[in-house]
Amino acid sequence: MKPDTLTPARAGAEADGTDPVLDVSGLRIGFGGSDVVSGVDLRVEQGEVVGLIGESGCGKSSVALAAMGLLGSGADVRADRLVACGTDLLGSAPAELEKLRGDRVAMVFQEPMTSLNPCMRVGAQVAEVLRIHGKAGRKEAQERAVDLLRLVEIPSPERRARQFPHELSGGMRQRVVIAIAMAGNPRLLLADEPTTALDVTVQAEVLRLLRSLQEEHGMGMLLISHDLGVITAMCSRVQVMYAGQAVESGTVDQVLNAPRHPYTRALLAAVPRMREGDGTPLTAIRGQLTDDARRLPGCRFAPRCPLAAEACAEPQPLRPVGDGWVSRCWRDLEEAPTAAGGKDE
Amino acid sequence: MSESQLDLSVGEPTDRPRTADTEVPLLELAGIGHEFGRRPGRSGVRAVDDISLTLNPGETVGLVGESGCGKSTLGRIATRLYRPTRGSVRFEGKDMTHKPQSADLKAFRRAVQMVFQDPNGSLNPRLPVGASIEEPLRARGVARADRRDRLAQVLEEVGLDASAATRFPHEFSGGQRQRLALARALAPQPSVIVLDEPTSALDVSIQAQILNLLQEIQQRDRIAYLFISHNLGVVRHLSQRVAVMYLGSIVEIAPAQQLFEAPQHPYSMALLSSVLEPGDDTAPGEQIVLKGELPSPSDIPTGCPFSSRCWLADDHCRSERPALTERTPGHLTACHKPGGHS
Repeated sequence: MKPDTLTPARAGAEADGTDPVLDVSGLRIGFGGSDVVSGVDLRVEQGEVVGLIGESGCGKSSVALAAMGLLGSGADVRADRLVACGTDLLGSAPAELEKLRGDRVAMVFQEPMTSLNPCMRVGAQVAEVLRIHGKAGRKEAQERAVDLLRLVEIPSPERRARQFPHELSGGMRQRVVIAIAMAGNPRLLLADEPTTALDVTVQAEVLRLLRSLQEEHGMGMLLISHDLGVITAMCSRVQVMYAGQAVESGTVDQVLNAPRHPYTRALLAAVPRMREGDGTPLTAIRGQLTDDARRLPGCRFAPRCPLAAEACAEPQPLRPVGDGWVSRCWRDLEEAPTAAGGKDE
Repeated sequence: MSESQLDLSVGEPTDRPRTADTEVPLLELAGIGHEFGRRPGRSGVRAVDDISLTLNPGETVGLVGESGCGKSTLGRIATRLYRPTRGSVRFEGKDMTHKPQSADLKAFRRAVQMVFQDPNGSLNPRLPVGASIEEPLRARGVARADRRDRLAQVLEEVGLDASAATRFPHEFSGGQRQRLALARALAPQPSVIVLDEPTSALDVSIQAQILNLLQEIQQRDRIAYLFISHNLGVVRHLSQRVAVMYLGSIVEIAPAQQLFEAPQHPYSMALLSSVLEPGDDTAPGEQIVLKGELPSPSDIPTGCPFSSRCWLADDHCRSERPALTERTPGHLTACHKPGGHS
């Protein structure tokens, strides 16, 4: 099996028995006694880009941090299975996790300035990763750092390597962070809102870069974003989260073009579109996500759902609604002619 | 709120003066230029350069552009938070920049309000929100009882309960705080509100609530909005006309539909092509990718400011700055090669 098989090879990868680069099932994360994430299953195959979407506070970033083994002792992480690139994140010693991070598993965050050391030249920051992971000696690391800056398409990398983060634009800084992530030649890249802080034209370039690196290196990627446009452009599969749970999961085509869960539908109906502006009122989702929702025994979206009914008070499992496609709603919304949000309560 | 129009305008006519739409625009920015840090013998950073823009009653003009293009500076000039270094701001035909009559300026300060991205800047964390909302009325000497009435009224208009007035900002969510900031702007019954990225910090479901609220208020009260945003979907949704800014200048201004469906300036084309929307199959590879980086506003290229990144630029573009020219009615473009393709 060639490790650089591209995105469509997802089914094939499963068939020839390659392990997924990220395999999570039954993930629960609690802080101070209450669960912020309860019951998330997630698989990222080699060479596949999976999206995780949801609004602030839905728990999507906590999932990513757990997948890096980065949640500290304050967090209570439990899972039936939490394996990244063959390493069990729950049963491994901290030293083993250190070896994993920055090597086979890497992460890119939203704000590059919080990832970069403001007092250190960017070339040295890339070289540091190579040296810590024993991939190169001091001299060689400097040279390879320049190569990595070239890999992420930074113009005149020799000169840029000697600059400090504040001398670079936001887009360039994010490229440096990506270069650091690529230093270990990772098999899994976790990207948490990697372009949210960037302008749209810069975002387009950074996404293009991430896409080509992912394809060339056959990386699996978990892309976390609140931007449904970014998810559509980048991912093959997507999972929608609400109040700490997955509410719908399937291919991008299934979930974002023919959503089955009322929350997914409402989310899509709330986005003002630039390419179809008719000025008709958007369908807003009434109310807001509150902490109380996490304590509901039944559907957590019910208090805001335009279709809520008595049956929603019962616990809602994820129901299969298609091939590899699940939705946490008892209704069969397949036949619904319009977006659920279109009907008023 | 038509019947119970309060007298908020000390020493001015009670009803909002009606401007004939065809005659004088409600708000007019003429030849605005603004430099930061200019000292004698040293030029500063040119944040805004020779911008003219009008706003008519009940209209929404969208102002789009990327970080650092000067759109927020222009918004602050429109509200006279900044005094422009060149050009003038006229309100109902009266100049507000060069020694305006104090009564006129006072009327302007009441009639032109602003809402910012971060509502926390408009709400004092140590005061009940009612006090913050009333403040612009108190400053105008409105009687206590009238202030109370108006407070209840605006809270209702923005979809909050009257009891909210006694609570503190930290007790509200981000979306609710933006409603409160809007209530504060609405309190003095403005005819223009400058909205600077009012929904950028909000989740889409909450953003939709605020955008719908803004539309309702406009339809009812005929308030004109200058809507500043980098989110083109939001701008298209709300605006009748849209201006695209690049490095301190307007490069294109047109009715919203024309601008979004047939942009003429290469920068507008590139900007629009970069927008990713859910369910859209435009792969990142099919976009127009701009070469190079946004130049610093302290080092704007000669000729067309966009020439350093434009794929159509030639020597003419690099030496002579194109003027903003009307090519079809209401559609102005500052480009030597409008609508051109590479």
